[in-house]
Amino acid sequence: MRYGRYAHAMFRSIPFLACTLAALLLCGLGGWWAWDAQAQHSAPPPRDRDAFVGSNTCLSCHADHHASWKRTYHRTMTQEASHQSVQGAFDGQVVNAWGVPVRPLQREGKYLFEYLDPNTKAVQATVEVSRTVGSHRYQQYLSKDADGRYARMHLIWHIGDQRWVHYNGAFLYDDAQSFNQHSAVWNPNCIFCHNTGVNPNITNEDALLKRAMQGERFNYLNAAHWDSEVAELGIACESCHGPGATHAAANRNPVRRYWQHFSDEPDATITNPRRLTPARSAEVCGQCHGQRTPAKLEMASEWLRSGPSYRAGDVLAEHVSLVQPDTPVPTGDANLFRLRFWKDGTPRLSAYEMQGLLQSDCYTKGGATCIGCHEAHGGTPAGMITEDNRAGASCVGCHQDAAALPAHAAHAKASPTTNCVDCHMPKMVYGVMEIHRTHRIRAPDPLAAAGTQQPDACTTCHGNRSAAWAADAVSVWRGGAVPETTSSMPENLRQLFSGDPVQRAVAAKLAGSEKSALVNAERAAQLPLLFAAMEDGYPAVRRFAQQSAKVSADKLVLPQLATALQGFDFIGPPAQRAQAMQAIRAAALAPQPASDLLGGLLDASGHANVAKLAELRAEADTTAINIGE
Amino acid sequence: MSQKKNTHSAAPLTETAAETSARKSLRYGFTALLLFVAGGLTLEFLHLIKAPWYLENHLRRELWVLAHAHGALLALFNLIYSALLPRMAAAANAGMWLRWGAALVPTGFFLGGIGNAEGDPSLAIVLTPIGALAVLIALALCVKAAWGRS
Repeated sequence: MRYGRYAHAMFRSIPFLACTLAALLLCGLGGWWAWDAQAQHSAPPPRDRDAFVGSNTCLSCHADHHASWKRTYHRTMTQEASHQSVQGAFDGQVVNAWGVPVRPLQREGKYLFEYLDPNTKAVQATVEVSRTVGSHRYQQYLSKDADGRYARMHLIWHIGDQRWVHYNGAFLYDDAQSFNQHSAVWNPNCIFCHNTGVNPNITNEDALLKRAMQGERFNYLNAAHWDSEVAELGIACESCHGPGATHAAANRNPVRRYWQHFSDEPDATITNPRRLTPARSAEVCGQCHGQRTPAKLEMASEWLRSGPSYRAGDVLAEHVSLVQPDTPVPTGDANLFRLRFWKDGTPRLSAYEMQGLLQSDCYTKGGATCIGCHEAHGGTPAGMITEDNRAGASCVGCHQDAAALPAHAAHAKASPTTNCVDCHMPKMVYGVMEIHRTHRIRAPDPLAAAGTQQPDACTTCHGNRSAAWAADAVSVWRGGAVPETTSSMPENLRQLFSGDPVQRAVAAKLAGSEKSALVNAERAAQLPLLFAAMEDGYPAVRRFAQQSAKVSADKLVLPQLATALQGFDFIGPPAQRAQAMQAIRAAALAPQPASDLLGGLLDASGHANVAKLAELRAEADTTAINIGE
Repeated sequence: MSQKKNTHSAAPLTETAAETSARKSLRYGFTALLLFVAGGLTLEFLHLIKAPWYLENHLRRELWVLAHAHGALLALFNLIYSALLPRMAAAANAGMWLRWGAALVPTGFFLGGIGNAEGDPSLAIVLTPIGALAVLIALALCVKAAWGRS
């Protein structure tokens, strides 16, 4: 009776009831969560496309990483056309491109390209922009047709130059191109690397195969129908971390989450590239930054039907074969892949960074990976790298005594801004209208580079020096004998005229580099040669030569020349370019009698030695080089 | 002698449970209000100097704002409670729960933002639901007192 009264009183007590209920709830939920956490402890990440959940799902737990990803160009790689995404000037101004007038304009909130008749200027076709690709260097535009085909349109918007450029001027092709040269379809190409959770989903493959078996010849790109899907436009979380459905579901359990916080074990439900071996980690980036083909021929069909099979953390080689110089080309130019590498096998086109890394001792011997220097969630969005690492800070992790080496000490004294990557990862790669650093990390070897017809770090910076001069310096620093100098021809300028188009493009760009070792007098002496390079048959070379001349004009404080250079359109009609060149030469200072004839490239009066240039151009590899993206 | 002492004492010996509770909540309320308003000022200062360890840690930022807001609001709740207690003396037993709750909720938020993971507070956040339970109990006691006969 007494206990009953106490119990009655206690149960009437609000604090007792509330605490009891809370304790029961906690025990029940906690027990269930603990059981569930144990059950899901080693659940592997899923592989199917339905398991891609999108970056918004990640946001709720990974707000900081989501924010750091959101500011990257990865996120904005592919976007629906909108006021926020479109950067081009759709202002109704006609752009003449390879003989065809095109008018980018806005109408009723839509972004349109009007294709005009060259003679009558009447509108022949109006195409609506559906999606954009790219947001960093330049932006491409896609239209969508009834067959689900996203076609790449002819003009791109160059964000740095704030102008329209026809693809013929963006890719490394010569002037002899047609207006439609670079017609391309997004669904079987760009979709793979520029989006997340991809499924091209070709819908009439069997019919096309049947037609092909019957001997019919047709344009595959025009005949294929698509119902392409992506889990997310752009390169989002799950491109690098794998599909997140299991991870998101499992980690709604707070017991599991806190167990993970206090555990050193990686979460089995998701891929964290920082917790992978160096090879697997590099391959996460290499799935796109290493141009590739399906590992087996039959996989190509699977890719087109249901998307690529690689998921972050997989062994990349089980899914793809990285393109190498000797990779067979299924159709078309048999040299297609070979031309994308320097003669010693070093990649010379962007999106081959993985191949370069695989050739580097830093990777093969030191286990260096992409994220040793780059940060997907840090640094500046351009290059996704911190300023310290951009200057080579990450090298010091292994090469702690490097500063004492003679070459390093000498450069540190003479040129404090020179850093590791300037010499060990020189700029010699073409892509997206820019010259990039190679990702084959190695010590400079100027003579070997000249022998394999490729640029080298020494002579692209010391632009008035020969390969032999550079080899002498390197030999002395390494304690070797001083070889007899055999040539005084500046190697960079030699390659500017006698190199193949990639060499010429690199040489033109680096001749006027801000970080060049050239003093002002040497820059001035070089100007007539840059003007000559602005008459190259490849638009890309002309553009880089123009840029170099502009940098030199600014450094030499020649405002009239700088203004005249701005009047040069590297993809303008030949007559217009010739007229601009006249104005440029007139605006330049009269060449001074030259003491250094730059290996005979200048005559005694300081003008370009036309005969010598012709001689060099005759030596040039005339193989037409066609390098797209 | 003891009468003289009682005259000068802040809490007379004859103080009822309600008066004691009201006094304690009054003290707690004003002290906590001072503390959490000053905390708000500190958060503003962290914005002023763009402190990256605060601004760039979204969860910490959210938790500390919650600590500031809950701490100040619950301090006000204590003041309201102390003001109203003479009219519902039966709620005297709510004071302790209310003060503990008002202290634990913001403390959990604040400590949860120290050493936190990206998506989860540190384990000290457990103080917050305990405090919330205490506040709920206090409220329930107040409701009971408000509906009961005086």
